[in-house]
Amino acid sequence: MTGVTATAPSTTPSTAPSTLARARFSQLVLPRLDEGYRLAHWLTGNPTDAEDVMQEACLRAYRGIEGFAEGNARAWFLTIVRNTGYSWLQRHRPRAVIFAEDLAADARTALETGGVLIQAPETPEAALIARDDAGQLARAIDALPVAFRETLVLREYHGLSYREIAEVTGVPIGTVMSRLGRARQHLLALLAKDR
Amino acid sequence: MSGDDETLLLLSAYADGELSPGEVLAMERRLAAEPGLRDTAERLRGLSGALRETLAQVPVPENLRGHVIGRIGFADPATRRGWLGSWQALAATLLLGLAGGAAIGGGAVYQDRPEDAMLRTAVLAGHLRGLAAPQPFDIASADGHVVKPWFNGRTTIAPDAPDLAEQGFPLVGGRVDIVAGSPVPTLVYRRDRHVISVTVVPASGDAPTDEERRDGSTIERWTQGDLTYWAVSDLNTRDMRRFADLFRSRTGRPG
Repeated sequence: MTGVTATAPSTTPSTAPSTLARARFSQLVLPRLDEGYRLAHWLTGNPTDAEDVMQEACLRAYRGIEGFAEGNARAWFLTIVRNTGYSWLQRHRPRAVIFAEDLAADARTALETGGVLIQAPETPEAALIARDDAGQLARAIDALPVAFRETLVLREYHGLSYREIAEVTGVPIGTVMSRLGRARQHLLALLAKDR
Repeated sequence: MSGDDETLLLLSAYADGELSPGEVLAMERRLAAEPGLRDTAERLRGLSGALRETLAQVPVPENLRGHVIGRIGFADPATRRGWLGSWQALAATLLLGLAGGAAIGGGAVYQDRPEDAMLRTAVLAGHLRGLAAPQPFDIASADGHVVKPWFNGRTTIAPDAPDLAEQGFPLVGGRVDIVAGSPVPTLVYRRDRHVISVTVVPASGDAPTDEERRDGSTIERWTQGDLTYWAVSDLNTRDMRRFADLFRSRTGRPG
């Protein structure tokens, strides 16, 4: 995907973006600011940094918009936001990016003690309880390693398919599937423990 | 990886509709045979619902769009030359959005007449009763051409039921509510797991367009022609306004 990794701002006026670029930006990027912002928010963990990431991502998108031919504009823009968010994390929280894939520890304990598979059936009431505990769930999401968190957000909030998530995050589909499964397993175990 | 781990991975991909047809068959066979697995599937569904809500709850700064446009307008020296044109185009888009928001939000300080307060209470009660019932509709259909005629003979109004499925608000049916002693039609839409009730009553006087939050529900009211529409849901305000805007744009000229 061209333009995604372009970072150096062009300083020469000769690269004048055409009216077309502006029109395409209004059409392809502006309607997606909200969902882009929420991805940035879940990546960085706070509103100020999320806005910084969005500003930069939009600039990158604007500069790269003529390189975006046809296809999935949504995945294209989310990829830019995601990569910008990662650069930001690398600059400001390098440790967050070096993630350990040891998520299953908690969940496995729960499995061994019969946690996940021997639970009362989930009911609409339980979903309501979960909603009341939104703060708790949000903290649990925040505590996930970033690779799991972004996969979960792209699936549950953005509703992307595994293939699209694989494209946005640059990993094989099998990895998307395993990250999602394990993130969910982890959250289910956490919620079961607190009940 | 233990057997349970692998089962959960498969189940999670099954819930996402990402298994191959063969794997789906195998999983459905297992689900039919193993109650424990069905419970886990239910819990995964519940988790997804809760996640969707939590993830979408992050408020977006109101001035984000303005900042982005400003940043791009100023940061790129090349835009200076054609600055006016592009700026105006972008600003116009922004202003339109603002004006749209203001038109609805402007009535936030609502001047309820006594009969309006009664209507509002009745409409909200109808919505809540719908949520308390096994299903929030009397007729289940995603087809506006089925729902609209169903009201004939049941209520004096048979409202148009615009198809908003592509915008993420599928029609799920209709029901009859009792407002001020008369049966009135209510269209039922969904947004993810949220139910949106749109109750349609004859317009009386010049009811303003407004919005109110009460007991966790948002109530949007607007009038078009000789009908007043009350939309009620526990959706967030932003989605609710979007729904109201879409609905209005599909049922004729904005009132």
